[in-house]
Amino acid sequence: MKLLDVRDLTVSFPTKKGPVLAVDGLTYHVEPGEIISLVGESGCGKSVGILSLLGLQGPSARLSGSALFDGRELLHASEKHLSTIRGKQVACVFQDPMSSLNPVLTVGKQVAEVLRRHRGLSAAQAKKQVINLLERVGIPAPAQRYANYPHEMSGGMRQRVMIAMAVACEPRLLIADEPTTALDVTIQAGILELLKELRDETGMAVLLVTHDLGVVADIADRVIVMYAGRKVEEAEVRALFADPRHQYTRRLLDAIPRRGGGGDPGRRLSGIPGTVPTLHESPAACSFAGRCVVASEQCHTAKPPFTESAPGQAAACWHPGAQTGHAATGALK
Amino acid sequence: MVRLLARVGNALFTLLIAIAVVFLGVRALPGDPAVALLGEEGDPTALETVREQYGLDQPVIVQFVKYLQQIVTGNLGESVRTGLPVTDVIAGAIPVTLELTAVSMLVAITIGVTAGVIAALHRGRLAGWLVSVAALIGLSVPAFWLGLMAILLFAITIPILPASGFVPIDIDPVAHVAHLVMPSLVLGSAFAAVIMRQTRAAMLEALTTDYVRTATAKGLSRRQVVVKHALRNSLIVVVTIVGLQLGALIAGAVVTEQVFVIPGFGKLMIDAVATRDYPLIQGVVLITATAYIVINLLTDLLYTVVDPRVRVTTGGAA
Repeated sequence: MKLLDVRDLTVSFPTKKGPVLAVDGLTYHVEPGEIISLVGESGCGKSVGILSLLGLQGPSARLSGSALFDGRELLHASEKHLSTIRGKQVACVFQDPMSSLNPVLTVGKQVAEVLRRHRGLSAAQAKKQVINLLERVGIPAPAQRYANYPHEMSGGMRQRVMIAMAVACEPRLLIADEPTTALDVTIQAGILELLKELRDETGMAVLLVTHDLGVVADIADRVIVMYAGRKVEEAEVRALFADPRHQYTRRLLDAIPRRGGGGDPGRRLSGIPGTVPTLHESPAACSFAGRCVVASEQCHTAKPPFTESAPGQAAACWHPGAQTGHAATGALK
Repeated sequence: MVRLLARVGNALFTLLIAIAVVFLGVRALPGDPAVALLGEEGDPTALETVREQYGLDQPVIVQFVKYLQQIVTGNLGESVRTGLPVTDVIAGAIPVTLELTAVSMLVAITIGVTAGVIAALHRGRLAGWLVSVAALIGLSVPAFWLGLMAILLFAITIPILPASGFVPIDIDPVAHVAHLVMPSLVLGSAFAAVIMRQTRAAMLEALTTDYVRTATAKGLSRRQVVVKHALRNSLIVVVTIVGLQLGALIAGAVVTEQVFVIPGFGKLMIDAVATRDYPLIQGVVLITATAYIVINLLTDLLYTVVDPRVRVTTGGAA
């Protein structure tokens, strides 16, 4: 049974220049206990795509498609129904722990709120459990930290508080929207390790949004690569890194700086020229065609189908095998 | 603690400057207080005696030091008109005004914060629009006009409230409250409008913050999200406004007390000016300045209660 089954999710925002398409027919699923990573560069629709699952995308967004959680529809669900799922079945950790905690309430109270809301605990019972939770997420001296305000904690500690809040009711799905982006690298590793441990302990699934392929390699079981609101590739994490099937994925991997690795030490770091286009309607073409070095006539006129190249790996690319490598990068300069 | 003392010291220094300004201001006014007291036809020797009696023949700096000495001992001189000690006259009027302003402020906060939250939650819809229009009217209508209209409506057309006057609480508590209803509503309405607009703006901002999204993502009810998370943060702004407006409220009390014939501080001030009662004017202005300074100090201190980030940390933070 799929824990989360998203089909043809489309999210658009009305603007003065017409609707902007943020997510364009996104289809994926999450199995229980699995860590799925949604990757893509800024503006590709990955955050909006997952926030809209819980109705957190902002009032102006227009949603279509379907998102079944445990067989029940989340899109267009009533606030009342959503509020019984949020924090209890599906919990969130957000990007910026500096602004995601309420500055005028103690962190202990903010975590306790979840338990009081969903478990109906008294203030004293909740406090006891919060202290255990804070300890579990690796916050030293949790009993003292309970009474701290967010501004009295470091970024890494705050993110641990956010995680404690998210896992308080042992949700079946944890949505993590760039949980390590605002943190420095040493702290990042600790947070990712914690997420993995919690997954192993509670069996919750994790839907992790990131633009950092290092994070993906570290933690994900399966990866979904997004570009301009569309899913362009999906694969097991090893397969993706070993043999990317979409030109965009290939270029993303090329853009990772590598130390040593036996390559040419003088080689320029490869980038992808251009930016993600802003879409007003779903184009009848590959949306990456404009930035792709191997793009052909077909790429500009027909939308590539999502085709499986190997079991568990599929991509929407007309030229999945074409090698670009460094020569192509040089040619682009 | 050190910061607290520094703030109090700061306030005291401001007060000293205020006293100097009042003192010099009164002396800079055209006309001789002795003449004002005895009249244009006053006997020159009598004028001389009065000047000596009030120390007016001495250099201003000497007068100022003497006045400061007087103030420190709690003596503000005697009213020229009635001969009563200025402190007694003011002490009699202050509780009346304090009660009026306190009740008005309570009315203003209750109406203003509630309306501000409603306006923010219903932005772009009829309810939000109605509240905003009501606030605009509340802001634009002068208190004296609103007061007169209220008297016309609730005391004459539908006689359910007394038109004017004041009854001390120990004489008749019911009449006391009845006499306060209209003045406090009139005085509070303009401030309710100011508070409403500030609350609305602060709420609109708070509702788009990440921590409100976090609160929603926790599964809290809309009501909990609004009251516990968004409103609590918006109140920081409201506290500032209330502090700033308290001074203006006392100024507004001058007009309201005049319209409703309430023997408060504001009416005392107008009467003192009308009768050129210099010691009384000086006392009244001094007390007003003190009130402003104290209110500002209290507002500063109140921040630390509402907003823990301003609180002086006593270690343990990382």
